[in-house]
Amino acid sequence: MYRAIDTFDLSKHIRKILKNSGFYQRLNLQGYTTTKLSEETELTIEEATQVLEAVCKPKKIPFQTGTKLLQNERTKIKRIFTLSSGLDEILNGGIALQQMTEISGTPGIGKTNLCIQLCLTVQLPDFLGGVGGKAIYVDTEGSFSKKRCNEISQGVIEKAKELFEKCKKENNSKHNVFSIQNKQKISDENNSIQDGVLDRIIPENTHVENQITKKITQKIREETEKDENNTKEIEMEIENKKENDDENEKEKENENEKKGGENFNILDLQNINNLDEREIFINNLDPESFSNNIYYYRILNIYEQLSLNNSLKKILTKDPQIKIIVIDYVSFFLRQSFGDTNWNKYPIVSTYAQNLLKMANTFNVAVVVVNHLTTTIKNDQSELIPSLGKSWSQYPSEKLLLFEQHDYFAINSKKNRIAYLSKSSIKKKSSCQFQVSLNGVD
Amino acid sequence: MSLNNLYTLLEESNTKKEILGEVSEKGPRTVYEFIQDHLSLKTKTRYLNLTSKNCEEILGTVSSFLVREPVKVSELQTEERCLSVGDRSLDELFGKGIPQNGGLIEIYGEAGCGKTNFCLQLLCQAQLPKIMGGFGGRPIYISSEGYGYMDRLLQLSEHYSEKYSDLFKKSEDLINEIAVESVSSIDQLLVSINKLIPNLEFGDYKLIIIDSIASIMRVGTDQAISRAKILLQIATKLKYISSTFNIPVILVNQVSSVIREEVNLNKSMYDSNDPFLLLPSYSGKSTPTLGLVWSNCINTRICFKRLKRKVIDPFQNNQNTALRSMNVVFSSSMPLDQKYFIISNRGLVSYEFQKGFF
Repeated sequence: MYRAIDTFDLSKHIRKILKNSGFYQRLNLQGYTTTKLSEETELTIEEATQVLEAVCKPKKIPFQTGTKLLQNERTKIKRIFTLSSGLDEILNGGIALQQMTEISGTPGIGKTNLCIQLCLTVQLPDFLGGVGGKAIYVDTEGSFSKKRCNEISQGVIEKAKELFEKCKKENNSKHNVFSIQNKQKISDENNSIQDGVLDRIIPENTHVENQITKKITQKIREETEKDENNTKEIEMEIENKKENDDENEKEKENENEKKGGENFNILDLQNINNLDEREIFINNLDPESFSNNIYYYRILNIYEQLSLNNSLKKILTKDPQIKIIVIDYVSFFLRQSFGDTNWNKYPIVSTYAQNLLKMANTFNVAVVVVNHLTTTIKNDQSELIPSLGKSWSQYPSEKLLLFEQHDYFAINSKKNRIAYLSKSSIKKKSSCQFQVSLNGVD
Repeated sequence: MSLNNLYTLLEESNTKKEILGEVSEKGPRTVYEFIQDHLSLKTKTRYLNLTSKNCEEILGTVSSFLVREPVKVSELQTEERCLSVGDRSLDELFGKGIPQNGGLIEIYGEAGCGKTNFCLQLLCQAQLPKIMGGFGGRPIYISSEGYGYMDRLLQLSEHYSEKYSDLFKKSEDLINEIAVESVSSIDQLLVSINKLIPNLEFGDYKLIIIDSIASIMRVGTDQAISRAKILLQIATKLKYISSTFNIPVILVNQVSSVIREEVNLNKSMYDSNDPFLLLPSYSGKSTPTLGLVWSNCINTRICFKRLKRKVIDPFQNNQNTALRSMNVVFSSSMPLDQKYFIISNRGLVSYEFQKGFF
C-alpha cells in the first residue's frame, strides 16, 4: 500500500516524471488506467502500461510445507560419493546436491585431482551409488590434463567393478550400495589394514556412523519400494532397446575396433536392468566412456568467468543431465582488480555466489568450488584461511580444508595428507587422511 | 565485427530499439566496459531510460557472447607433444618430456644448483625438429641475470652443432634463433610480455623461459598486498599466453631460508597453522620465494638440489663433479619423482646409483 514508487523496477526517467506529478506511493496509483495516467503525466501509453504492470500486479510468493521439504531432501538431495572411503565418511556420503561445497588447500595437495574424480564419480549409475549425471569443469588455471583424467578414470573403473561385485553378492541388483559399503568398512577395521593406507578414524565418529547407517537403511527402503513399481515398465523398454542396441553395436564394431569405450557411455548403464548385461557393460568400460560427459570450459579472464556465471541458466536448461559444476580456483580472478577503477569486490563476489546457489537449487546440481588459501594474522600468529573474505565464506554450506601434516610418529618423517571438514550443515568438524596416487584420490 | 563494440553486438542480437538508443548515445563502447560499469553499479546512473530488467538483458547478450563453446573432455587431445630435456632418463621425470600444455612450470633451487644450465639446454633442445624430440621452433629467453650465461650457451651450442651437424652448420645458427630479452623490473617484464603477444600468433615461438622471476619481483614493491596483485596479474598474462598459443612457460625461482619455531608435539592436529610447515618444499631448510600467492599460480614445481656427494664425470676426463638432483614437488600432470644428474660439457646427464651414467 504505502510502498514507495522509487522501489519498483522502473527507469529513472519514469520515476522522475511520476514524482513530479505527485505519485509517491503505490496507493496514489489506485484506480488509474493507462490512458488516464498518460494524460495526467507526461508518460506515453507504453510507459504507463509499464508502470501499472510493475506497481499494481500482485506478486505471489510461493511457499512449501516442511513435510514436502523433508520428502524433497530424502529423494532429491542425493550425495555424490568420492570413492575415497575417508572423504566419503567425513562428508556424510559425499558432496550434496543443491549445495555449494568449498575445497581449499595448500598448492599441490590434490584439489584438482579430487575435482576430476568427482566429475567421474557423478557419472556412475544409481545401483552403484552414484547419481548418473554429467559434469561441467570450469578451469581457470590450466591444471586439467586429459592424460590425468584418463588415469583417474581407470581408478574409478576399478572401484566401480569392486562395487558391482559386492552388488551381485547381495543378490538384489537394485539395492543402494551404501549399506554394503558401511558393513564392509566396519568389518575391515576389525580385520586387516591395507598396505600403505593408515585409516585413522577418530573414535568419536563411530557413534555418528551408527546414526548414518540408520538414515541410509531408511532411504534404501523407500527407494526399493519405488524401484519395484518401476521395474515392469523398464523391462518392456529394455526389450525394445535390445533390438536397437544390437544393430548399433554391430555397425560400430565394424567401423572402429579400437575405440571400444566410446560405445559404452557410462550414462547408458543407468537404463540397463539385467544383471548379466550390466556385467558385460562394466567389463567393457574405458576412460572414453566417461570423457564424453564432462564439459570443459577454459576461462582466461574475469569477464569470461562472470559471463559464464550469467549463462549458467541457459547451459543447465539445455542439458538437464548435468549434476555437478566444478569451478577450479574460483578465486584466481576474483582476487584481482580489473580495469583502472578501484572496484569493490565484495558485492561482485556476493552476486556471483548467489547466482551459483540459485542455479544449484533450481536445477538440483552440486556446486564444488576450489579456493586459494591466504594468510591472515590472528592473535599475533599467522594463519591460513580461504581467500575471498567473509562475504564469500557464508555461501558454501560445506567446507573442506586439505593440508599436509608431519607424521611425527612415523619412521621416515613422512608427511600425511589430511582433509579437514571445517564447516558442515549436518556433521560436526572431523578429519581424515587421504592419499593421491596414480589412480586418483583414496 | 569488432570484437568488443557493445553497440554492434546488441544490434546483431536484436535488442529493443530503446535500449539500442540509450547505449549509442551515452553508453560504454566496449563489452568489457559494460561489465565493469554494471558491477560497480554505475549503469543505473549512467543510462536514464533503462530498467534493471533491460540491464540484465544486455548483460545476458554480453555474457553469451563472451562465453565460449564448451569442449567435451573426449575432444581434448590426449597425446601432447613433449620436449625432450636432452637425456632419456631425465625425460621420464616429466612423463615423456615437457608437455606443450604444461602451463607454468617453476624450477627453484639454491644458487649454483643448475637451474640456468637446465634452461640453456632447453633453449638448444627446443630448436630440434619434432622427430628428434624438440619443438621445431624458436625459444624466447627473458633474463634478468645479465649476460653471464653466454659462455655456457656457446659451449652447449658447439656441442649441439657437432652432434647434429646436418641440422646446424655453425654453432651461431643455434644462438641466432633464440629471442633474448633483458629485463630488470616488473614494468619491463610486463612491457616485453605485451610485445611478445602479436609475435606469438605466427606460431614460430615454441618455448618461453623467464630467468628468474624471483629477482624481477624483488625489485620494487615491498608491501605484501600490492605484490600479491602484481603476481596474480603476471600469472594471468602468462597463463593466457600459455593456454592460447600452447606454449609451456618455464620460470626460475630462488630460495629464501626459513626460521622455524620449535615444534610442539602436544599441539592437536588442527592447530598447526604455521604456514611454512604447510607450504610444500622438498628441503626443510629453505623454501621458494614469492610465497603462497605465487605457489597457487603455477602448475608444476620442480626442486633442484646440489648434493654433497661427488661422482666421476666420464665425459670430462674423469673429473670429480657434484651430484645433483631434481624432483617434482607438486604437479598437475606429473607424478612425484626424483632423478639424479650431473652437469657435464654436453649438458645434463642423468645418473642412477647402481647403473651409473646413461
